[in-house]
Amino acid sequence: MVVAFAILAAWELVTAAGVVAFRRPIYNALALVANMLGLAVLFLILNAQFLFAAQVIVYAGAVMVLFVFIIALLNPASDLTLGRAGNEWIYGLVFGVIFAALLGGLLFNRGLTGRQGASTPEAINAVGNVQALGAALYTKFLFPVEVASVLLLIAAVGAVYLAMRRIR
Amino acid sequence: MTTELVVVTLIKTAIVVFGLLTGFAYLTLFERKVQARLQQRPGPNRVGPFGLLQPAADGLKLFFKSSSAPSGRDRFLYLLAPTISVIAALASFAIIPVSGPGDVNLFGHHIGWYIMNVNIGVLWYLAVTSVGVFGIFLAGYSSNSKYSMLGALRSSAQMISYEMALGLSLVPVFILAGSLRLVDIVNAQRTWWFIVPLLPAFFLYLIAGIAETNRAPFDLPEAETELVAGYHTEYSGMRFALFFMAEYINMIIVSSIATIVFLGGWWGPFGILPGPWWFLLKVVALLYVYVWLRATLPRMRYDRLMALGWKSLLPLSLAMMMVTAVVYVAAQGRA
Repeated sequence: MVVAFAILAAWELVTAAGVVAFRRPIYNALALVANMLGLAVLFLILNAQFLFAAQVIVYAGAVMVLFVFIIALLNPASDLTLGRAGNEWIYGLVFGVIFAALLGGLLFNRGLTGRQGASTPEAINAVGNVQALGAALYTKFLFPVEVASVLLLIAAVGAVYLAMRRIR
Repeated sequence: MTTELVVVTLIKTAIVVFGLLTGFAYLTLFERKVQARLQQRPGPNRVGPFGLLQPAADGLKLFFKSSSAPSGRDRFLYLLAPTISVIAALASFAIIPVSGPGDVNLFGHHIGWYIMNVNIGVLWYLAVTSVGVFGIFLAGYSSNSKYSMLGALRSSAQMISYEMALGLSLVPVFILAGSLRLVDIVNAQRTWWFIVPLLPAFFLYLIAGIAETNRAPFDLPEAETELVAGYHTEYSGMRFALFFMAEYINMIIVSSIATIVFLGGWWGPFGILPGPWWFLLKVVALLYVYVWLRATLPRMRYDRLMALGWKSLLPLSLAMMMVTAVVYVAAQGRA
């Protein structure tokens, strides 16, 4: 398990670096796909099979295909050779240090092992992964789920409105 | 225990890959033969008895063909694209149970007729195909050709659109079976196959599945009359064969899932024939429908295709899902 995690962590770091390091946009997007697939496998190692499927279907599949679509369709010539901009690395450094400090602080305070809740892997496997998640979503977390679904509906209606207005 | 599990899984994977590749080879012959008969022609009959060695001849020809590749292509993505397509196609079969669990007795070990029996079941198939879209899209993008690009755009848009209807048309089955595990779904159909109560869902699945595999009458991505060959226009030799392989294996998988989810998997009436034969028989029957449709129906227009997917299939599958849920809960309340 530790070996698997080490390989995955290395994969995640390399692909994450690829997202910003490649010079051609399509490769950046594909590196992000590879990163999301690695994240999905991390979920799998944590016994969260449903999240694995959702991560692959929604992010690696649907969202990233749209990214790649846009890159391939617009294909701006200037994007093909993304130049190194002047002072951007300073902001990158500042926010990088802040983020690393936050993560380090969290690790220092909490340690690497979290507290174990009621939903242990054994308890979840007894009812089934999908069943356990569904029961939690539609009983305990019903209100947040409904709020999120209304938000998504609003976004969908808004997108349709914007698209139709442009046709007229 | 763990080493044993790994070895057993590797052996099963090898068998499945071998079976799928053979299945693919003979599916091409099956398609050509059936189509020829439907059009009053004899079909391939020169290589071997009844043309049975035709797939071997085709494979040999493709293997020794010189591969030409377009200039200005993206070398890495051009090679990556067919690889993604084939791996995605082969990997989706991992969840398909050909027969009941523990049916095979191999050297004293009881093993099931599937590679894995996971809790997420069909979601695995949906996840793998959603990655498979990249193979088709990257093929079009990396080829540096307008025909390929247009074919790839059509194909990926079509696959993404119909995946929604495909997934939703299966939800009524999950409601009735109470599980996403394919083995559980088949076992729930011991008395009644799900095609009986869920006939509309079966047809929704079949239409969406045909569109998902880019087959006639939804084969817009490779519309010969307008796009030469679609996303694989610039591929030749073995690399072209890989895309072809992915498409035919996907047909086998869509038929297998339909068999398992709606047609009772390995259960057959009267207790004749063992389970795997029933499974094979049903899959071949569904593949025949594929070929039959291709020989019968003309190609649809692209905007009609998208309208069908989004405006008819999607609302219909949603409605089917709600009706099933309401009826199921009502029936449970009365019982």
